[in-house]
Amino acid sequence: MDNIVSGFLLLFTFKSLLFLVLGVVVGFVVGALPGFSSSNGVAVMLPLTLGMELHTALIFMAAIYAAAQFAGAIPAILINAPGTMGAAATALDGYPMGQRGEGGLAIGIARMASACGGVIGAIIVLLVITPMSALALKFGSVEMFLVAIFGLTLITTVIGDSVRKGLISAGMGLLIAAMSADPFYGQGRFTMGFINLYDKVPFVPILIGIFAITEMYFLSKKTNLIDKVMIKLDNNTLRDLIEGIKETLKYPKVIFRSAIIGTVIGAIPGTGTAISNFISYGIAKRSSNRKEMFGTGIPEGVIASEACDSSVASGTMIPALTLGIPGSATTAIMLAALYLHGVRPGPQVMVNQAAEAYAVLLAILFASILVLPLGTLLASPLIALTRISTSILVPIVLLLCAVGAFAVANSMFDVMLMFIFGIIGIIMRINGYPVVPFVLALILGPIAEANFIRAYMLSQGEWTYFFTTQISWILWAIIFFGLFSNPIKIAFRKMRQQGN
Amino acid sequence: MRNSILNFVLKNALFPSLAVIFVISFYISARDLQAISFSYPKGVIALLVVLFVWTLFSEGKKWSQSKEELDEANFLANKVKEFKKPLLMMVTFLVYILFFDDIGFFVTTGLFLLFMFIILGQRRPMIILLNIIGLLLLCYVLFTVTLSLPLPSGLFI
Repeated sequence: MDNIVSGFLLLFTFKSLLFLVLGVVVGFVVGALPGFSSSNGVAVMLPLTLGMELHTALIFMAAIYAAAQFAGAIPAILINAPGTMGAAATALDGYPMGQRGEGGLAIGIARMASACGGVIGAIIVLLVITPMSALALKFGSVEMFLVAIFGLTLITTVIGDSVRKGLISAGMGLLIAAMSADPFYGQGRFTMGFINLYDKVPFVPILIGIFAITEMYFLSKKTNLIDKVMIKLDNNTLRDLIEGIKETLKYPKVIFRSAIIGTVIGAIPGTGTAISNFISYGIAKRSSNRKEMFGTGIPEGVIASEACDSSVASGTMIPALTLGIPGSATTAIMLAALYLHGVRPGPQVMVNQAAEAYAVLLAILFASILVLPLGTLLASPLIALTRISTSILVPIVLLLCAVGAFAVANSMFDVMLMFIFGIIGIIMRINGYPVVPFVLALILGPIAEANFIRAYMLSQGEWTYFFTTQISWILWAIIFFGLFSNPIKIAFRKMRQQGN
Repeated sequence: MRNSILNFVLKNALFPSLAVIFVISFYISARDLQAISFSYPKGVIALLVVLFVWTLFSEGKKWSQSKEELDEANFLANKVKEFKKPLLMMVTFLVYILFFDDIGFFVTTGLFLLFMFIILGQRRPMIILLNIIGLLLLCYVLFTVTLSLPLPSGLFI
């Protein structure tokens, strides 16, 4: 309880609240831009947080994350082009509502459902994070190493269409993170003579390159962010707000169930919003007494997707804060912010930086509440923003990337590193290799290696040491299941077909 | 006619090829280190080698089965045409980041923005001018004044 109060005290200062509001506005912008996501936005903004205190930086990023989850629904409803991955399920019912002339109402419902989902998700996480962190503290080096591998395994099997490509992507991330000096003897491994790589591989320029530069490359091919005709809205935002609240509150069961689904799935590293939203949508459809209406433009569909979408942000904070395992690409960047401020992510964060951790969770809660008034106030400018020309947007973002990468260490090396990883990101996307496992591996690499070496030393060369505890057995089983469940399923299906 | 190797590599195999080069270079550079320093990367490299062999078979099979007709003569010309705008953008960005330390942040940024707006198809001079002035002012206020970040001054400003 003391920690929650300390978190409140950190959040309720003028500066923190200012950055909370600023974060919500930035989150709206990045969420509303089709092609942009919270991870792109947080990556570009990361260097700007350098001059801030740790809690302000984290509050700012958490607010961007929470607000972007809602704003992605706007282009999904108006042009059937989800601003974020999670909003894809929102488009299923939001867009038909928009086509019927109920676009304003659909946005109002999405806003209210997002606010409810965000608040419920944050409350659940606030309640469970203390016991979860107590459990995490019991993890030894073997368990921590396995948790890192477990996180990566899940991500590679869930993201992208090929496990092989996901694993190569993650493997390359791990190897690049291992270029710096080893944590035991301090011997540089593949620094290529660059002193900047000796201490640790700089995350921030790599993240900016992989996320923002890559995205700008692909956006530059287009003239406008959206090529489709946008549904026109009447400008009665206050009426939409009230109608949205009224309509959403008619479905409390859908809100609670979706928020719980989002929080639980969000807590599983790598699963993210796209999966959870479709699961939530599917469950809402199955348990509704008007199943056949789903997909034709009904409020329940929008609520199921949006309430879940917003609660995922809170869920992803559970592994990030208790274990140092990012639950999503955005939390990976938030963990990079911890590194930037000299804090090593892991179970000790909930002990040494408990107040900051609770401030982040409270920031998500209050950012979700702020979605209602600010979302109403900024609805029209946000809709206008989706019409921005790429000839304006791309140079602005590239400029911010260059200055941001330079700002981290006043180093041109970092700027070049950002460019190189931008090119690598472009090649990865063209060749169909997912970038998220790569980024998560880059962040998890040092944690995995430090714990692997510690366990290796303790084992005195005895490999059975990695199988000595019950938790380690469970983790090995999950890793094995995650990697091989699909091939086994396919093999069984083939055998059954041959049998027939 | 089978798909050309160049087209296939560009579409499917450029990243794994670069990854193989990186992994081999890493291995050569780190193989003489003490066992414990190299133990973890060695495990990752072993995993990657298995995955690369898998990729070789998988992509090789895909290539041998591909039946896409390709006009070899016009292939490169078409690719350049398709990617002209993003490639020009990346080259301009590279030139910008190569020179902003020596020439000065504000001068190079002004020129960079001007070229970028033109490359990306912005034709209205007023919009270009207002955006350049606005962004330079924003950079000055945000980075120099607010964040006290020493931006490179180089030869000019």
